[in-house]
Amino acid sequence: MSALRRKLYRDAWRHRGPLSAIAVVMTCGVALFIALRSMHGYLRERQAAYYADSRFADLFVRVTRAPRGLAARVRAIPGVGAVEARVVSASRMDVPGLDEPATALLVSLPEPGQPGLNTVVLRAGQLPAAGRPDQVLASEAFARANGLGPGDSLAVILRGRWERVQIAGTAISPEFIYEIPPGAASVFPDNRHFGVIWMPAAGLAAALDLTGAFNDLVLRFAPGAIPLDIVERVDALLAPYGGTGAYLRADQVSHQFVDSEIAETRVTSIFLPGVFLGVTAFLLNLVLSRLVATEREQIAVLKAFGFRDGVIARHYLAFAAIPVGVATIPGGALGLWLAGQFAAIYARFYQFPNAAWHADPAVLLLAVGVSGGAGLLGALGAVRRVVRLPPAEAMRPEGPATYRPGFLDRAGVVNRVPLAVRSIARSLQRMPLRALLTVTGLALAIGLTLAGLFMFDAIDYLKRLQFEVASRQDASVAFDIPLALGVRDELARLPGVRQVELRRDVPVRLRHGNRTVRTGLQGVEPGAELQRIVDDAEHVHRPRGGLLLTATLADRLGVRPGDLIEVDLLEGHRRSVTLPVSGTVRQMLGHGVYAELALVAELADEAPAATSALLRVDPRYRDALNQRLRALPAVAGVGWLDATLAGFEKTIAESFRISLVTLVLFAVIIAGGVVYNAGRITLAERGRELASLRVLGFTRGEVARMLLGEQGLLLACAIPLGLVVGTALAWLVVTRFSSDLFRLPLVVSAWSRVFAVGVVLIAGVVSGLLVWRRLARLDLVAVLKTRE
Amino acid sequence: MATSVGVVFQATGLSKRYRMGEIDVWALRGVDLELQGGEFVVLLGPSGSGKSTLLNILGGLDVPTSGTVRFLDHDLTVDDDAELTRFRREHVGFVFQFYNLIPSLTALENVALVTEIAERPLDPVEALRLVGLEARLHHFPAQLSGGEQQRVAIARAVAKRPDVLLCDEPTGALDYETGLMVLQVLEKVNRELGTTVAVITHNAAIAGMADRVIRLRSGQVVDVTRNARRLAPTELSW
Ligand SMILES: Nc1ncnc2c1ncn2[C@@H]1O[C@H](COP(=O)(O)OP(=O)(O)OP(=O)(O)O)[C@@H](O)[C@H]1O
Ligand SMILES: [Mg+2]
Repeated sequence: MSALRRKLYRDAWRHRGPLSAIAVVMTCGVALFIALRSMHGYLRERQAAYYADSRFADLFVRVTRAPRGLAARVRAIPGVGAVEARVVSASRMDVPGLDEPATALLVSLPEPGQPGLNTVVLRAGQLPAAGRPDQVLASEAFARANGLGPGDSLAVILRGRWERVQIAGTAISPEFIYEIPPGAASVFPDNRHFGVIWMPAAGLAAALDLTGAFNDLVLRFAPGAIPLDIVERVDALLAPYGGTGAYLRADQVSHQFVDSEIAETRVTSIFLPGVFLGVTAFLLNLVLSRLVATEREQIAVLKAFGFRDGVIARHYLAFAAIPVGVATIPGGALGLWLAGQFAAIYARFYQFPNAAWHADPAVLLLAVGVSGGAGLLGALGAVRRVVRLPPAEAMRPEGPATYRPGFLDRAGVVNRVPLAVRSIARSLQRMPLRALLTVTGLALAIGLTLAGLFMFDAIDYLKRLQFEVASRQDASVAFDIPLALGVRDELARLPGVRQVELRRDVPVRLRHGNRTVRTGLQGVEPGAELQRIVDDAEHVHRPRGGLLLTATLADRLGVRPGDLIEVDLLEGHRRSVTLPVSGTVRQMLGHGVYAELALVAELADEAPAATSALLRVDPRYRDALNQRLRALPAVAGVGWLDATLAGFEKTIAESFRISLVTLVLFAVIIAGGVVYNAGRITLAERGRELASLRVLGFTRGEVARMLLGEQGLLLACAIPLGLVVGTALAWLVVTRFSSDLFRLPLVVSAWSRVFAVGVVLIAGVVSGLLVWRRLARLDLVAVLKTRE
Repeated sequence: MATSVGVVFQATGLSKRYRMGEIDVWALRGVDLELQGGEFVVLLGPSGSGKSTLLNILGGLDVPTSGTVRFLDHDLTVDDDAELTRFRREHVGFVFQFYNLIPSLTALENVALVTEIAERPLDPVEALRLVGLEARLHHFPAQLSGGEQQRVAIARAVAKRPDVLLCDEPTGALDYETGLMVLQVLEKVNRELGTTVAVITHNAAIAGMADRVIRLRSGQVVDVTRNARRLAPTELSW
């Protein structure tokens, strides 16, 4: 037995090249498995814990003004567990160190001692002291983006007056993990110019003239609640008080975003490691099959000596276990490290509290199990052959590989190509499955690289679409209340303003049949140029004499152009009207419904008005304009497009770079592993015949061409396939990532294609060079002296 | 009897040392040797006496540790792979105990592969006819018997019209009948093409078909005998 063990170690050492390649691919698989699996589990766990700890609401609704007493009646609805009636209001905010006015969402903190919902988690400082209505909590992301902390102060407008408030602490809340202002034009957070400010309820209510009343209500369900039933009852109760329609957690923007992202990590955590472990199994099968073929006689001798099949099978399984076992250690370590990195990045991104990450032993165990399974899968075929080998049969040497004229010969193709190519074509024909798996492995490597690069392309494309094609303003100004259209001239007179465009947003509920969607109706100017409605083909759409719906919204309602939908305006006179759908637009970012400004006014039965304006500004006057805007009481906030862009780059691009770089790196490893091992196996199989050609005077180059030609041909087949696989993967990502908030475009740049193919080609060339080096060192005499 | 064109190989003081860890193994110790053009030589000697080492050095597969060896104007002591490759390509044909044909090419294609790199090769069909395999042109190695494979290997080696054909135990793996057929082919190549042939064998009976018999022992040439008359392979008996 110990002699067998020694043979095991010698065999492994002899095959150290291929086994190392396998171990490296396996390491990636194990690392990815652990990292992605842990991260998914961690995010789900943190999300659930966070939601539970902070009593995240199940239902949300805004009203104009309702008496506090009404909250008790909401609580009495069957299935309602807890209710918090709040005061919430958007306000302009003056931030130290920031030239432009920012927007605050003021949210009331529950009275001390009262358990609220969506409880804030304090991150620094402390809660506002009792009897200090001027102390507030600021959202952590906003505070961090502006370099603010406890003790700093800022100004907010409360009922038309600037009020100084002091930051007592910074906090986070599950309601605002993903912070975007209500009715924002962009779906990307801009933490410098938008933040949530929590204020003591009494003070805020007084300032907003809402003492004894509320304008926002959130509630949690009790076990057994029937959500839609509760929505209906809440709406009925609140409608007289200007209720804008209750919506469930699934429609809550922050939750929606976080939830779909986390769901995505699950798919990735299965798919990606699967690719790596599958490739490992294939490579292992390749090497082990070869080993068994060359050791037929040894196996027979062992059997003749009376070694039982089980013992011999165990010997070859142990050989397979070596790279698997070796890989689990660096793979585990790398996986844990990556998991920690990913956890930190995503925890920061999602602002989960208490984000301490700890390794999950179950995941580690599972990783060992899964990698062992992959190893077993790879070893199975070869080991079965070992067991089946009858001792007598095996004593005969393997003999030349059996070739027969293949279909290429019959088709007359082979006779017209050079002999070296002929031999390659026949050997591929003889083992089509192996050729297919090799091509598949290489194509997957190209595909993964391409899919990884595609994410960069998609983000670039979205960026361009959003910030160059659709949004062409320099700044957007939000108003506290709808203003008459005369505001256009007022704004145009401000310093540096070159162009003004007005918008009117109204919260609405759209109904079609029994489907309803709560969204914002966006009134736009007929010739809007600064903010355009752009589809994925970059065509500009305009709402003409009806409603223009985003395609996702139209799908949710089940409507097509020409259909009629009912529109309940959730503001002002709260009228309900029936309107035709004039068109749909496949918009990449955001969802909503558009109509002309005049139509919105007509629907609302009011004089045309605007709730926000878009400005094109001479950059030289930016500071002056900021100052003037800050002084205007009706201005709730100003957003500069370049700041939003910077915010976008920071959140999206930076956060995901590490995972994408990892992906591309790992894809390179697959490519290298496959090319190298396939080359080495071919060298092992054909070493003797090639050595005999060297003896007859073939140069090293000529022989290398014959040897590597096969790899080159497979690589050449893999390139177009890899591009197809990559595009398919990208398409998969597109469909998986598409949510109501945004869709990813299926754009793969030429540069990404070149890069993906180039990377795999380079991996191929490097592996080829390694094989070439072995070929150069091939001892001709030694090869020919032995039979195998 | 082939016409002599004078000395082709000239080896003097040829020594070859193999390093086995701490121990030096001298495979050859001071061998002096000349081979005439068109000669048929048989190398005899016990196992480990250095026959293969000598043949490999003559064929440019290996270089001696000391001594000189020339083939016409080629210096075979230079350890330059490209140079030795060119020498083998232009002048040498090898036949080994194991045939090492390309399994994915037919008999004809195996021969044609070699003629592609030669300057004035035989027609591949001609070469296969020489070894009596004109009926097996389109068979793959796996479809040929051991003796037939060995004859394809010989056809492959002679098809580029080498000046010398070096054979290391070409009949080692073959039965009597098949071995005889292979020897007949070697004799025919020597006779019809004028190729210098050197054959290593353990079978002393084969020595009868040689012009000269060289015996080695412990890395040294211990005896060289010239046969008065070359026997035809069919006259040999073992
Ligand atoms: N690569 C090598 N490394 C170490 N020693 C070697 C090597 N090749 C040959 N030898 C040694 O050199 C000596 C001569 O070997 P060689 O193969 O020339 O013998 P041979 O006469 O051909 O024997 P056989 O009839 O058994 O083939 C032997 O002792 C052998 O062990
Ligand atoms: Mg020998």
